[in-house]
Amino acid sequence: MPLPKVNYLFMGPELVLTAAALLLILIDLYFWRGRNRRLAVVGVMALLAAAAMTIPLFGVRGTTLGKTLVVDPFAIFFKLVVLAAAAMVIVLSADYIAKHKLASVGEYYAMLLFATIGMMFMSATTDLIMIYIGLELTSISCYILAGYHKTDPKSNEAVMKYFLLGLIASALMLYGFSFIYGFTGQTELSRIANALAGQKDQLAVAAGVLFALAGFAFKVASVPFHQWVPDVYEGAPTPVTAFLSVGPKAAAFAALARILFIGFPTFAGTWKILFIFMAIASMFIGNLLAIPQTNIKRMLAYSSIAHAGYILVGFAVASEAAMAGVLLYIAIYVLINIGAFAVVLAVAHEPGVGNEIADFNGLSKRAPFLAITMTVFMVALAGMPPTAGLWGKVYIFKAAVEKGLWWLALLGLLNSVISLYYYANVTRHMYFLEPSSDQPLVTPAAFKGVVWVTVLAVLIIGAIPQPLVWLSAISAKGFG
Amino acid sequence: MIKWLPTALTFIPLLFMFGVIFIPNDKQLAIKITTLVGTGLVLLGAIYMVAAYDFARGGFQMAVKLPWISAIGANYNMAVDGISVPVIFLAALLTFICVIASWKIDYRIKEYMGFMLFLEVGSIGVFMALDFILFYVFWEIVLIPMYFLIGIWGGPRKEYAAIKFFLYTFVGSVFMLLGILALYFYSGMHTFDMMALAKAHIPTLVMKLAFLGMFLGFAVKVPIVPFHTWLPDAHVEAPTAVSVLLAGVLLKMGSYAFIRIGLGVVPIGMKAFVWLIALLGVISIIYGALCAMVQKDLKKLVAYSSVSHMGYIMLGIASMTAIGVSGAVLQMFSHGVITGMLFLTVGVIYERSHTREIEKLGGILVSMSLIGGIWVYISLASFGLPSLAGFVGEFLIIIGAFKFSHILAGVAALGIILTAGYLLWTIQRICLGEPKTAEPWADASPRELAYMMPLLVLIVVIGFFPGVVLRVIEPTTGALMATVAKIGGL
Repeated sequence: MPLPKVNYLFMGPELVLTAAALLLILIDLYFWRGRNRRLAVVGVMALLAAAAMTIPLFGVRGTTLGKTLVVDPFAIFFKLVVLAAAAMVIVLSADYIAKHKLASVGEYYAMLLFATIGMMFMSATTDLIMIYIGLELTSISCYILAGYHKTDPKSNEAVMKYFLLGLIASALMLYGFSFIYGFTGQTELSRIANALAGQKDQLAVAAGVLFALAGFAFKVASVPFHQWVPDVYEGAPTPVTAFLSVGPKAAAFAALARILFIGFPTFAGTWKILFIFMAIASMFIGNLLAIPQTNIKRMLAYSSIAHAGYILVGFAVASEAAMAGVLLYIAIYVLINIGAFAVVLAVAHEPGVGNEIADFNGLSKRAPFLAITMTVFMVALAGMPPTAGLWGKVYIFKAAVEKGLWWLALLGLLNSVISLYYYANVTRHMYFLEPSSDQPLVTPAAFKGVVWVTVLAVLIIGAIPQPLVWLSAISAKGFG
Repeated sequence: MIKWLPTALTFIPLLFMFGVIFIPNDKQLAIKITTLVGTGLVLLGAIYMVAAYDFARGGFQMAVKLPWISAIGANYNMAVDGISVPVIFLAALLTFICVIASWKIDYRIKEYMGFMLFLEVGSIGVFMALDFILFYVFWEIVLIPMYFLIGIWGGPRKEYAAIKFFLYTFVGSVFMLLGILALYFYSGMHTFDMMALAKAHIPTLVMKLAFLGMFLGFAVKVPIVPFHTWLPDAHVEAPTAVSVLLAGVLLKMGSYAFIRIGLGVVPIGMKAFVWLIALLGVISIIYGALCAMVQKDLKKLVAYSSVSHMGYIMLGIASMTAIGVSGAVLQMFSHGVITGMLFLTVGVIYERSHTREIEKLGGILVSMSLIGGIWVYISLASFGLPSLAGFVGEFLIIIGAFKFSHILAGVAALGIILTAGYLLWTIQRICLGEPKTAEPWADASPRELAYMMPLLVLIVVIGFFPGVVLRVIEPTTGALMATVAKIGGL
């Protein structure tokens, strides 16, 4: 069998990142032992280079690697989102690593790059095997990253939970894929759809789809596979938490969209019911359980479950407009969440300060810039103007009303109200309560930089959403 | 160029807000002056707008329409008409006055002034937006500064009051958004333009449901009983200037939305609920007045009187007659001026006496004769003494309501007696008699008189020459109600 022809242009970004990841491990071993900041710069440069190679591919449609790797606007959109997320997370990591004196720095950045590669593959393939490989590459890298506080029992517990539950989820998914393959004899999604067309008895495939969905529900942190989220988010190093809350989630949603719309359009009715259930449960459980949290990372963990619920509303609607809304929502959510975690990092950067919400007390006096930007992020997460957070919600709920799911939109909107309570609580701590010390908070420039970038993006997209709306509409073409 | 005036008025405060942010914390005077200049510019602009608005022609003027989010059909669509011009002027005037009234605040002054300016962005913009999405954005923007203004500078239970205000209004606006989306989709026109949607062919049932959703949003804001419970809390805890803006400007957003959207866009939907609105309006009048009567806290009394007065405005709108709606708009203006004055005076009294308990006050006419005199004057205006501002609006409203329902108009007229009752009784308790404390209270300072004077003058000007304002309002309301009648809303 001849090897398939490879279009190196199409997989250039992934190749660059792979090379950079290997290079990072090597130079950490032999040249720049533990030179944290230099290694971080290499990582960011690699991500920027990959992004620079990805952007020109926007608008191109094609496949390579024997049709297992797809280039289309949908893939490029997600690739750019995860690349941006990874770059910002690396910028945030350097000071965190320095403060906590984490060991094996080279591997840390390499793992972040490997996870990014995995996510890029997940969003750019229509082949079940490739999806699985991308997913595992992401997951295994994330397991390692989540346990980087090697001596901290909380981190160890988190990573054990994450690892074991993640393995079960992956196994379930693979088991589901085996059903699908066994029934259709195909791993490529469009061929699966062809094989299924006209078949009457599809019970086995339905079971396979259900198993696969369970696996994805785990990865996107949707109810009822959400129990790992708060513990892992709390135990993992904060930059990794920021990464987990956006990257793997975005990629899993991308892969899920491909499977749903390309592989199993005939199952739309079944999917719909499941997604409606998952969306409602995730929104309510995420938001209601976020209210009593006293740890900001746990609160943001439950909030991320709720946001998975809002995104799943888009999947339940399953129109092209809804998918455009999903893309818009994910891109905006990435910006907001990374910004919020950057503030969390900045507040916890002081020696002896943890991640309790009470640590934010009186932040407006000690660090007015962080307080006002955190307010912007909280307002944005609640989906209020004048921030970008409004548009993701408006777009998804508009699509829901269009498809007659106005009651689902109503439930989603009511959930924004519930969420406002705990988001406003953070601002209450920052503005209404007195600080424990009067010392101004010293914030590393890197944290400030990420906060500036994200807050400006959130506000500018809030005022002028048209370009991003346009991009997500183009990228979602053909889905739905 | 005049068409950019609405845009300028909306975003001047935003520019000055950024200015304030970049002034160092300890330069308090610079911060205050920057804010004063910003709000002053807006006020001058608003005065110019009143002068430039061609009221003989009526209708929308100074319109700007630019594509904003073309993917969903949202436009940057700003214009003013005879309904919004008076309210915009009111908002600009009250904000300017509130900045002067807040001159003595020294706690976290930079944030305070920043939030005041941010509040003005929303509270001016909302009266100009003719696109539903733009309207929604301004509508929501107002919540954020208000939440902080109550929560940081408020009284003992400020946090509770702030979050209650925030959640109540947010719940309301969520239903409003759903109503907007329903109109958007069922019109099939792919636009959020209010005036285009007003002409769209939308199934009657959808119009009714959409209006019901929006009704909840507006009703919380007005507030109509039984959606009013956030208001007394917010008013009691809020600092003086914030109470003025809350009563004077924010509540007007609700009644304005009933006219602009209820009558202007979905009259058929509104028609189905007009009885409910009128009935709740009358209940608000009576219930608000009765509650005001039993209050021990002077500020809470004014807050409930506000609920009662907003009931008249709702009744006027629900009458769906040109005269009733004109009266409602006029009353919106007068209520903003009068209640603003009431809150300002309560603030001055509190500053001297450190109490708002009616029982502990007394003999203000003796101890502070100017303030006492002012209180009597605005109380008279508030219960609608002819020749003062409160009278004309209520009179027109009751005429309009009479055409709608004799019984409701009758009950509303009886409400005026209750209003006079509690206000006169309050005058008796706090102004007459002997002062209850030995220490002398300083009378109104020149600064206080200066910022009260424009409102005091307006009260008597509107009372004697209501035509000045009605000339602006009536062509627009007349045309609006003619359109409503043509559509078949009546």
